[in-house]
Amino acid sequence: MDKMKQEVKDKMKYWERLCALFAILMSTNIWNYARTMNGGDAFADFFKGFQLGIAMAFIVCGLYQVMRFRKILQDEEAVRRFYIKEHDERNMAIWIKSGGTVLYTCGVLIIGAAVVAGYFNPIVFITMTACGLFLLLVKQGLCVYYCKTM
Amino acid sequence: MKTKIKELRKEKKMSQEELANAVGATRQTITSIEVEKYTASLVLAYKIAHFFGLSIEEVFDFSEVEEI
Repeated sequence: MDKMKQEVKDKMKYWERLCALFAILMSTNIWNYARTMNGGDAFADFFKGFQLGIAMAFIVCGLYQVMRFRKILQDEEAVRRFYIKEHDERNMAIWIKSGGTVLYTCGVLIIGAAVVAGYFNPIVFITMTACGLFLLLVKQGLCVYYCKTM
Repeated sequence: MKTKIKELRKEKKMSQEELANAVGATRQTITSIEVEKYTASLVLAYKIAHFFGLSIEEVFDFSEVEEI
């Protein structure tokens, strides 16, 4: 049971750190958002809005996950159920077969790179974002397909 | 792969959820094994067989496994 609880705690710590990171990034950049919101060109406004949106999405998702893990930790049966779900061999097989690790990593990295590219070129930013989202969509589609067929 | 899991489970009057909890798998995994959509790993096959007090060969039918 300790091993199971530790795994939940580790995942909770991961999301707490991610939340803190994006909260810091957002707060250090907030003056920049406010400055370009009024009178900046259309793409600058769109790009800042996108960055702000991503940061806020990560924070909201992170807080939800942290609250979820806290709730799980209060109930031993829930911890056990969570551990079984995480280590279920069929779930793992579906993840591997749908290329989960590769597609997820590439998708997230491409979106991260798109944010950097957005400082230099709007077309590259939009293309890379679309590419990253497409990869994540393909991964999700394959997961659903293998869930039905396996 | 054909299995006797469903019959053995019914003999014991167990639900898929109860068996899944006993062997550390999800209900969906047990369903997939029962309907022959998914072949259990050696470890899970051992756990299921051990749970029913049988050997792996008694629970899983290897007769259709292709010989090379």
